[in-house]
Amino acid sequence: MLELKSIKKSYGHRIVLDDVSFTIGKGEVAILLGPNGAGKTTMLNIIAGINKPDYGTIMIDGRIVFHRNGSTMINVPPEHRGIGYVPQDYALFPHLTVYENIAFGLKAKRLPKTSMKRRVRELLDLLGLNGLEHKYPHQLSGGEKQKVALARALASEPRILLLDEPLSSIDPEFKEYIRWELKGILKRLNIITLIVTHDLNDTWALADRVLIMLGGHIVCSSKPDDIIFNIKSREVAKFLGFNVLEGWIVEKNTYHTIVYCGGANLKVQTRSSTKVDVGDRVLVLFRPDDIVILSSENANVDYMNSMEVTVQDIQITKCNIKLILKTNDHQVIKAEVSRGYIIHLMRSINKGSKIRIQIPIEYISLCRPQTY
Amino acid sequence: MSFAVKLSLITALTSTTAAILLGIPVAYTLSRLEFKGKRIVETILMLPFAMPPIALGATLLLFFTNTVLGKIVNSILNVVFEVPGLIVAQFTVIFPMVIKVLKSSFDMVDERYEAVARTLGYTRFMTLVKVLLPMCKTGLVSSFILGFTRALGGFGASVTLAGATRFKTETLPIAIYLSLSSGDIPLTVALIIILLVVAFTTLLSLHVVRGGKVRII
Repeated sequence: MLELKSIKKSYGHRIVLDDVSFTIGKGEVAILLGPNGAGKTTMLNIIAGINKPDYGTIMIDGRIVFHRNGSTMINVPPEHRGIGYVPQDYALFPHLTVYENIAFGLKAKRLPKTSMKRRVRELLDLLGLNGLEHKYPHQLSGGEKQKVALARALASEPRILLLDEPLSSIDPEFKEYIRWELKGILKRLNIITLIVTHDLNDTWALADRVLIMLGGHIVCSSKPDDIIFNIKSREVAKFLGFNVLEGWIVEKNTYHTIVYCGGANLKVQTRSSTKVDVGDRVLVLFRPDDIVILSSENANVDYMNSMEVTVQDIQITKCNIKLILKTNDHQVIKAEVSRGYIIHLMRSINKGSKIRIQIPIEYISLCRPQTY
Repeated sequence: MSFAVKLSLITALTSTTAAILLGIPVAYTLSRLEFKGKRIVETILMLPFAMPPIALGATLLLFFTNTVLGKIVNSILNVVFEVPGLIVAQFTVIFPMVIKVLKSSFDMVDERYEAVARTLGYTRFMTLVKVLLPMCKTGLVSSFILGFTRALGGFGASVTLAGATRFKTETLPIAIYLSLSSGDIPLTVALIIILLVVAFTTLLSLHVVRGGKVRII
């Protein structure tokens, strides 16, 4: 288990990490998600022992590897923490072959040559790198480099695997496949994995748990599917690309809460709105891809959780269609619909036309407005 | 003449090797560690680079003859007006340049390589030996060649500290100075040609060493 307690880190007057605490269990793949400059890489470097925090405690499997509290300090150096680290762009040693890169950590352990060969061979098999062992890093593709870096980190059988933006230098056309492969490898490993990324697609595909980092704080910790129910601020919702509308509670019972928003009454499950009461102003959160565009034949039928909106803009991308919509009380909604699903409706959807959308009850969450 | 060539090569090789060996930890400290007064230390280390060689030689001579520490070192190493004086003078002249080349070479290597090596079980020292130095092979060779060429041609500081004594402290530049003073023009020209050939060969090898691999142009 990896435990961080009250970690603080500043560079001069700039606070990078402010009282960060979290725990990751064995076999769990946690994603540390945040915008550039949020302190994610600093966090990884601190866990790896490359940077020292100003304050706090780090424990790996119950053993303190770092502790600083006033003048007391314990610091286990990186070479004794049992961590596998894959930095951004992989940092494969350019003067060593694939085999030598993977065996690099084993040499430090002074493993006998036969055991070293066996371990490297195992990793070459595990990651599908056979045939590349004599190549140099500059002769490898982005995906192959990533796997070699992973093999190098795993060779010493670390207790924790840290990956910094593992897919950032993969060509877009291979990204999905490599992401899927990486997920399979991580599942087989069954060790603590912490991945740093700012890519939402990586997050949803790989994470067992998502930790969102903004302004040096962990502002949300949740399973990916439940994340919408754990958001506590407008900033987090906006960062995740969710729609954030303003509304107020008009009715509440054990099962349902009714919120007036965007000129319509939306029904929300009360379990997603426990901390709000009738009359409260709230933020209504839902994902752009959970919105249903109702067909023009049904446009006048008053479906539950439906509202009339005006189309402001239409952007057609490779896989889906993005709509910018405006509610009757002038709030903006982003909707993302797959091309196949909506294409037959496109003739009736134009800029300025009025359409009806529906937001399924199970995908709406409410939170208190912390910042207006 | 062969005495001067031999002495020049021996002293230049010794001073350059010493400058590289001492320059590696100094350049590493300047490149990788943060400490108070780092800029001041770096500036002080660069000072000999900006000083006229004669002033540098005079400073060294005064240090070894007029200070307690200098006198102790001189009694052990026998620096003043002796061969070790040539090495000390050359070392002082080339050390800032060697540090500068090594530091910029270290600066160009992303620290993430070393971070990975540390997590793989290597200490800071082993990371320097196994990762940083192999990745800076070109920088190491360049600093050696530049240092060696400069040491080979060193005159001002050397002559001030070690003197110009025939068959004793007679390096190639000092031999040129002595033969010119005695009006022996053919010998002077011959010595200049030797110096030119040695300098040309070493400088050419600097161009040949690229990307950590030695190539024949």
